[in-house]
Amino acid sequence: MSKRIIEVCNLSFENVLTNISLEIFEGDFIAILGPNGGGKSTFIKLVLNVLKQNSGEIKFYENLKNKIGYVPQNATIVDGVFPATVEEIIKTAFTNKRFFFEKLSLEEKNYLNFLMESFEIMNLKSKLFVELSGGQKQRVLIVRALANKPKLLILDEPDIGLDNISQTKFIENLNIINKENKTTIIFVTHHLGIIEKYITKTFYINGVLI
Amino acid sequence: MEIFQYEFMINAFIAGILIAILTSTLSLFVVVKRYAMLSDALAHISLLGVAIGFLFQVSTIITAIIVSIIASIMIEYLRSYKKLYSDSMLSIFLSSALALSVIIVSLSNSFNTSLFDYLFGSIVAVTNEDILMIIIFFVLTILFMIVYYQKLLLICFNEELAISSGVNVKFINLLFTALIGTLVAISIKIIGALLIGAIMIIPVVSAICLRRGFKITWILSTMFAVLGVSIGLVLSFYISIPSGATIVIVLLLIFILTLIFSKRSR
Repeated sequence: MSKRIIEVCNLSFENVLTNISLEIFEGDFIAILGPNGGGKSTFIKLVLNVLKQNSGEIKFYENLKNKIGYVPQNATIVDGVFPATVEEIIKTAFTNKRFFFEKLSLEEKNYLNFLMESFEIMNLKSKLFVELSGGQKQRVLIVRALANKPKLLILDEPDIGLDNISQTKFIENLNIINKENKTTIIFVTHHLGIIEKYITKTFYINGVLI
Repeated sequence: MEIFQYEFMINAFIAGILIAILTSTLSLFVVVKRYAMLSDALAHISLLGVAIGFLFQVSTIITAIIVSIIASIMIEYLRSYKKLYSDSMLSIFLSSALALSVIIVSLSNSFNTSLFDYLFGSIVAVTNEDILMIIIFFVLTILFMIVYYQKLLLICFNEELAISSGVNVKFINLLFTALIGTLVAISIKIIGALLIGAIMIIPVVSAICLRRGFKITWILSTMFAVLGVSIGLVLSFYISIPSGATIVIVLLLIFILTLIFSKRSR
């Protein structure tokens, strides 16, 4: 039986979410569905501690600090002059264990190169992030989320901006990561589409858990 | 060179170059956070600290640092916890601090050349004590950057991503704003409250115009700041014009050149 990693008990936030309770196990591939304004992103932000709940509890059964990969909704909307390259943005994934002068290990470098090749952004690494198209930015953020080999991967509508081919490839890559590394994945979306065949659980949130 | 035969000019160069490196380093993050007005607000808040120093006849630089740090913490608290508009809030701080400092200075009967010195600065009046203070702060800032550079970059890029990566965003923002407060407080005697905003912002914006990566932008803005200070000091010495204002004009010329260069290279 899989290990429980997160337990959400009676979680409520303002008038957006009411009494949400659920459990997440290691290796789950979860789809969170629901209408606009239903509280899907709010739920994610509560799990990530970006927002503080009014009541209820989120219990972590494993220390996931530095082991969460996250692609926020609308993170591609960045100030038009932000002067960071793709490579610099991706390397912020290693924020919590790297001092300024510390280099990435050979293994980390190789894995990054593998990810950049897989998501076809290798040729973009010296470009400024703000100069990329929406789909390219999204792929950069996905690579960033995966760079640190996360145990929990949270993706808030990550396929927006990706073309059909990239979407299929992305979902297949997610499935491989989920199976091979036992990475738990929470995938927020409006429609199941091509992820349907890979997911192990579905939660429908519209203010409450349905 | 004749200019280096005078001890006050050597001190001016040391202080000026160190401040140039410090301002361009910290201001890069201020500018990309769209928080450029922070430096101006803190400069005027530092004036309040100076006024309090005059009133109680104690070291004005110490009171300026204390008032600046307290105000920085208040600003960061209001910005992140109360979610107030940053620019409006900074305006309130700026004008209130200026009003209070004018009242306090007039009460302490020192509203003469002393406050004027702090408005426009006097880089050629740098003392050894000033240089020591700048060096201590320089070391602290470098240590802060070694530890927090990557985290600060991520916070500027996307605070949500930073929180999800386990970065203590509130603590780092607080520490960073306090550093900016201290930098401004240390610099106003030398650069001047009215000119510090320019030296903090112009080199960074010039470097950003060239559209390179973050580290290169950092290096370029530092180079521009050091160049502006050095050329400004030399010009002010030989033409006998105010040093702070000359530095700002040189920086402005660098900005115009980078604008032209960036348009051509696109």
